[in-house]
Amino acid sequence: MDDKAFISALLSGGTQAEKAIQSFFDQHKGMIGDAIKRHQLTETECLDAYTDAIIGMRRQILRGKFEGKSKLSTYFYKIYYFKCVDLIRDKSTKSEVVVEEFPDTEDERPIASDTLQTREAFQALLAYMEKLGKQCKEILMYRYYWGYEDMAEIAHILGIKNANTAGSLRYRCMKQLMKIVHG
Amino acid sequence: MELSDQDIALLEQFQNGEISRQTASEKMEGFDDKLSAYQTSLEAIEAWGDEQLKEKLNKQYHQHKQEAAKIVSFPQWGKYAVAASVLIAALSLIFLLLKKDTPSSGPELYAANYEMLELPWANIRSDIRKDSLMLMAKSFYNERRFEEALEIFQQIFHNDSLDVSMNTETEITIGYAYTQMELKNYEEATAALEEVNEYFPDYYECRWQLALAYLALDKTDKARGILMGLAENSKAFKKDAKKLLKQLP
Repeated sequence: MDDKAFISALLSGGTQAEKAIQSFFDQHKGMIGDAIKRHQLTETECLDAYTDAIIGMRRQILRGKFEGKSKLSTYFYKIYYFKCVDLIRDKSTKSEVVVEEFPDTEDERPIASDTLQTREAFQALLAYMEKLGKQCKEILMYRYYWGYEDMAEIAHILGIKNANTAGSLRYRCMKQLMKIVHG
Repeated sequence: MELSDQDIALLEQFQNGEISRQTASEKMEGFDDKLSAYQTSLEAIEAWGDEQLKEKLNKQYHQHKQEAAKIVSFPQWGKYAVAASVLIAALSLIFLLLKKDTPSSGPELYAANYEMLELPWANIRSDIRKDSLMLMAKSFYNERRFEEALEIFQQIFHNDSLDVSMNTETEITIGYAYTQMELKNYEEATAALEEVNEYFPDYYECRWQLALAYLALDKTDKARGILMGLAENSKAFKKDAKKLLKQLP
């Protein structure tokens, strides 16, 4: 899948977007092994950085912040690379090894203040979701996170009777979540 | 907070830019409060979605790894199949070697002798500016993603702010040339390798690659000259160069 097709699939949402992410993940997973060798990080650390980088890249594309100045894989690699650098920096600080300089390439990671602020804020958001039932969480995720437009498709995936039931469930779940958030 | 289905629909329409703030607030009581709750709810869904996606991708990674491990562990009969394949490959190789006594064309000789070389960069550190780009290029090269590697090499060449020493520039040029070889852009590869050869004539691996690139372009006379030099001066390439010289048309 070329860059244009990937971005278009991501923006279309639904199954296409899910498949595009999975395929991108498979296509570039060699970078995990490479970072293990190069940065002397553990597999778990590299996998963690890799999945974080994919999520970060997805968000940047959906927000229109990927301008296509470079290839998507180069852009992704930079996000991933800086996530690995963060881990190295963290380890270096702990073992008191000074890292002299950091790369000249532009840091492509999403800016924290522009996205989900801090870890605490992120945890608080997760806590709102945790108060919902499983089906509510799933229906909201398919509709709003993955951008499924067709309620019949969501009904099919989640084993809900029909599109109408899924539609009213979606409204009910959103109202429930908003009430939880409002407190 | 009293909420109706219509409120949710209006909030969605407002969020998507389909209706104005004024229209939305006229049709809904407590619009600002509801909008704020709606937007935080979307952020909560986004956060939860990220967590779920991460979990799913991690699972996918471990599943693939397990499947790959299963493929590697051969069943009992698989060992015989592998042994038979090795035998067939060995016999084919002997046949080809015997056949190779007859002179071949430049591109044929190139195809028979070319193999991808490792980039000769020993002392790259991930914490130095230009090195981070070189590491990126090397990583792409090793993963056989040559177009992406080339893009990085070109970035390095065009970035005047990078403090690149003569030695490093040569290393980058070699990387660029090897990448062009892999992309079968032999004209570009020969130009770059000639440049390296000019400054470092004793770097025999490069000269060997240069000879092969000329063979790929069917410029056998140029290749012959380089191979004669290698046969005379290089310990590592003497034997291969002599053999190739004999096969030249």
